[in-house]
Amino acid sequence: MYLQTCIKGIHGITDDQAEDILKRQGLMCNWWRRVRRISSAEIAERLTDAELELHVNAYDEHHPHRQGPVHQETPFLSLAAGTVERNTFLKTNLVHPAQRTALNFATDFGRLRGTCYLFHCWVVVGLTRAVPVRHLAEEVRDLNTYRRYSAFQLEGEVTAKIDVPSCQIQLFERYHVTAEKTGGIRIAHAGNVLNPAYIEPTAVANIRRAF
Amino acid sequence: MPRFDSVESVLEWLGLDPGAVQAQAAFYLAYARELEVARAQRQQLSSDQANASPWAQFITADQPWLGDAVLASSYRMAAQYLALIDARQAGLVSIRAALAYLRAGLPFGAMLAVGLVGDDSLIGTMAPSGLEAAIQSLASRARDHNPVQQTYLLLVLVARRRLRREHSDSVGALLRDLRPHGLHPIGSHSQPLADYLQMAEVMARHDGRQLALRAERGGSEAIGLMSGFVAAAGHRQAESLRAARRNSYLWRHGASPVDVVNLEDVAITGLLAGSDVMPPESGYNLLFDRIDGNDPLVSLAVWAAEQMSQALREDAARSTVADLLAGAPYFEGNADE
Repeated sequence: MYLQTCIKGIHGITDDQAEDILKRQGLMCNWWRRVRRISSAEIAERLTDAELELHVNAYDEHHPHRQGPVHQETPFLSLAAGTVERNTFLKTNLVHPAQRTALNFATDFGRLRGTCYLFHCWVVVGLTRAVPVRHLAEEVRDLNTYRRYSAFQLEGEVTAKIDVPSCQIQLFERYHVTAEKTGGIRIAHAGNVLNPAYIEPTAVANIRRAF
Repeated sequence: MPRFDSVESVLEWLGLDPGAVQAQAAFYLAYARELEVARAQRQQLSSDQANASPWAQFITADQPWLGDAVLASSYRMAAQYLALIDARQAGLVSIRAALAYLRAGLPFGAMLAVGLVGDDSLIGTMAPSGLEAAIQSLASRARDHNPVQQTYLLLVLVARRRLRREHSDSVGALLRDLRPHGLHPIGSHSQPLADYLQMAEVMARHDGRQLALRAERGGSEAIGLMSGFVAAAGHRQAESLRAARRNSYLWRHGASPVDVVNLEDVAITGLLAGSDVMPPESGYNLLFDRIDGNDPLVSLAVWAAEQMSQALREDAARSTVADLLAGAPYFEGNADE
């Protein structure tokens, strides 16, 4: 397993709600946020390869055997985890920083005019696929969706399950998006809020220091 | 091969909303601008202030290439979306990307710039500090680059007569050095490097004017090779686009992790269309004519390259390009900056 730092971009919430996520609730999957109460049995029923495949490839389509669209029924959360390596850049001529990917989602792909938030967190990722294991996040390796330079780099998306607890969220960044007279937009950083209860990932890493 | 006849037909064929495409272009340009501003202000801020900027993480002393890498990628992404709605802006933003690639030390930047604007006369009139100097610098340390980047440099040097003659030693060295790397994957579809090398060898070996004469008499083997390469890349790209469209959530937002217009294909197409192998002013037509099938998506890169290079040849755009290559600041659409 390894620890992966990630960023989640969100819009459509207030400053108070952002603080509530940061310091109390944590990041929750849409399914949990919608139904408010879920059980261990229901979680086990949803953490399957098929559900993950729907989350990655059919996010806004109607779920094949549940009531709502996939994005309302999903037990997963997509997180940006960009890779920035010189060697990869030399081969692909592209870098995908997680900050930019998360901001793209947070700004509703450039359409938002208002405030959005980037939550910086960490998750534990399994080295092999283990979809039913709730506490391990998955690397997304879907080559049908992520075809660009797939021979050279991972796709930069990590999928958490059910939630990311508040203690794993370090801070949120606030951004204001405004329209320019020329038709473009301006994305201005408007401060950070730290989580006092944040636990550094090094606290759970396999490092024993000499005494 | 049927061609797109308008921006509207391209967007309709792709199933993309112009608003979503415009929004994505605006996003990547805004992101690049914030990085440019952060870099410009770096000298005026205290280290604490500078470190507090979310953009400053990319402007680090230990990874000096990183800021330009993120900038180049962001401009490239913006240009790929703009290519679907505004060829002139797409061309100008591509030049911004090219300059950032060059600052990061990547010959890919030279390929982008020369592919889109670099006829021999234009390369020759660029300011000494601009494109020509950058190519000179890249060629002088040709053997230091990664094989993928060496390949881009080689294509640039052989595709224009002026550069081919000035850098014949580098061309010879690169052709020799790259041969053992023939199976090295290159490009977004991981093509063997040998495919690129084959084209470079043809362009380096033949006298352009003779080839052009032969082309007028009914085509040549060399033109067949070039057009075959472009067609194969177009088919692979069209297949990727069709697959990407099935993820409707990402696709309709214009956020699919696929190059909607593959700027690498665009740049190579521009290089080939303007090379001596093609009859003057007929390169794009020949490439269009020799792509088989009925799917215009296959020729999307050829269409985009032709649109962008034409737009950049207009006087006003040409002057802006020259200014950019000479180092003038440029923020898309904002005259106040």
